[in-house]
Amino acid sequence: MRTVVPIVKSQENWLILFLCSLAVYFFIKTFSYRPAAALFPRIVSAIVAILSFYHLAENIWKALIKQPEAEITVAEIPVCLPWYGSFVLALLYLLLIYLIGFVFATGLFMIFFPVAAGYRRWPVIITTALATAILIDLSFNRLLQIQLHEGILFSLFQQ
Amino acid sequence: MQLWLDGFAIALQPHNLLYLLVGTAVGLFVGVLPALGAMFGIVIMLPFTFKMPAVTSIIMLVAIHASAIYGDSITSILINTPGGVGSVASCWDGYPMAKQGKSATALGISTMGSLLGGIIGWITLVAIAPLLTVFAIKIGAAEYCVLGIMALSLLSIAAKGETIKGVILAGFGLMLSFVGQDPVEGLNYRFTFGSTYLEDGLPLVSVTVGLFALSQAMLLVEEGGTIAEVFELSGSLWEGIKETWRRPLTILRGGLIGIWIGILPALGVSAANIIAYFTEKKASKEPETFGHGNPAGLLAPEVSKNACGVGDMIPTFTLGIPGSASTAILLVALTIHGLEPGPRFFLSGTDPYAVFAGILLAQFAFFIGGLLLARYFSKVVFIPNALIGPIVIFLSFIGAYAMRNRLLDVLVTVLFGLIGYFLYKLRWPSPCLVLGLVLGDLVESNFHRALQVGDDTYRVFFTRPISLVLIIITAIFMLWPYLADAIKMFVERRKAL
Repeated sequence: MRTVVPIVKSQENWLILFLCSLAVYFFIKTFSYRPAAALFPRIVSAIVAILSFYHLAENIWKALIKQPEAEITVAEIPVCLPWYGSFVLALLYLLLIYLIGFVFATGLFMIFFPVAAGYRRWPVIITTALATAILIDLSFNRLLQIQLHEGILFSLFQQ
Repeated sequence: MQLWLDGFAIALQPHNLLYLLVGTAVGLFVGVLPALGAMFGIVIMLPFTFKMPAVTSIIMLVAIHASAIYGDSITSILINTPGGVGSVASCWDGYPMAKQGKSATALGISTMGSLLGGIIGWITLVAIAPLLTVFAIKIGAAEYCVLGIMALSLLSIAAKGETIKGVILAGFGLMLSFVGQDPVEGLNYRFTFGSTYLEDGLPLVSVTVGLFALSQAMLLVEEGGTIAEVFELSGSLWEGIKETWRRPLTILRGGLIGIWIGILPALGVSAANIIAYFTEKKASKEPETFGHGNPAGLLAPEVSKNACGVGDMIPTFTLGIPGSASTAILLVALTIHGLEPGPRFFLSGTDPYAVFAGILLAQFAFFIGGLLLARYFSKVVFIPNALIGPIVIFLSFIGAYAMRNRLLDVLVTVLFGLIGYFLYKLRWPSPCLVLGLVLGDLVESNFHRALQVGDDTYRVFFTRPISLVLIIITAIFMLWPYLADAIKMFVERRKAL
């Protein structure tokens, strides 16, 4: 079966708090709109705020009344590349696209990402990176005629 | 009749058949990969369709939908890992069959059963869709609004044990749909945080790609390794096909359950797959053999799942209310390509008939593809996650960008990828969020139209018979878990007395 790295349950409360705060913000903000535009968002945001507050209170209450448990040792599942690693690499990829365009940025990304994730079979990495970059150029720029971002650096050079 | 013949003639044109095959191959590929299902396939391939003719693109997307639903079962049978939520029950007898050295036989049952389920679903779609369209013309704004809310509620209930989370996320999805110009008067830009980018609203494709594709890439890379190390294909596909035909009642039961669940807005293949399994077990003369490799225990969920996959499209095409999260994306694709789902769908000339013909051809395409290529596609599970991850991220970025050629849309994808990751980890049902976002405009504009009809009172929702019936059905579904407990306690007390 697929193994999923566990996450601390209490982090759910932060998510609920975020949703609750956003709903309260939406609710308050509706008072600055015309009545027709405000009515439905006001109803929905009120419901979301109430339900998320209820769920948060329920979680906290359950945590308070829970009997102290014997210490449980959880075996750590080895993580290949944690979520924040993927997140940062995805943001860097986006920045690279902005700078040097889709085709070259994808080529570089397809090389660096597998390496960061611990994969070291260079022939496979290089072949995949080259194949992906060529595929983008052929399928989008030539076959489908969808103009992909070329990167501001290239635009500057062209000027 | 002439329209149907024209529809089939269009669907059978060489370029449409070519894209049908491409869709089938993509669907099988993503179907085999655990957690990447039909919705992922449709979302990823949507940008490739922007320059295609409407019918060709929808045919390709429905082919992805059909073959991914079928492909989900391949890993269920071979490595006991469901390819998606819709094939959980397929593991229960499929994998024991594989362990008994009958993996190819099980794949044969799955392939034939899926085709029959798809055909049952298609016949129902063709029979019911025109009738439902007539019904859809007669219903008003109040009913449409309640139908939208019903779809959101049912999807929340379908998230077993997580109803409150589902409702919160559906509401959050609705809230996100409010961002941008208001659909009522068009005079207000709402919840834009002062950003001109948000004045057009949040891009649905970017949000969906982030929630379902990018988040899965993050999860795959986090896990590392490959999805499976080894599996062996043994037995005979032909034997599986013969086994299927020996069980006509199982096919009928599975098909009917799948259709019924498919027609109900928002109850998807996961419910169909499991309910069909338990119904078959109950109906069987040898229920003790279920879970130990009984072919009927594999056939029923397979038929039901694929019948449901097509049944899902009935409310999508006729009412414009998606039957599941993946058909919600299909709805977006229909709109992008200028096909208007809803009561006017059949008034768009031969195109709707060509799409329906494409749906039937898609069933045969995955059947042939499954028989010939399933054993090769199943090898996808040997590709390292460290390579699949960046490919999925790259496809997500292309998908988000190609819609409007704006890099900010890609940033939205990255942010929603992070949200999707945490929702998955915390077991929050993210399809509810997408359905809320998709249905937001429809529900809000019909809510206001209904109020205008009803002189600004909420009575209009309760005085119109269809609206009232829909509200009662929704309430019963929502309260059923509590009602069931109360009824059980009442019966036990009566017995005790």
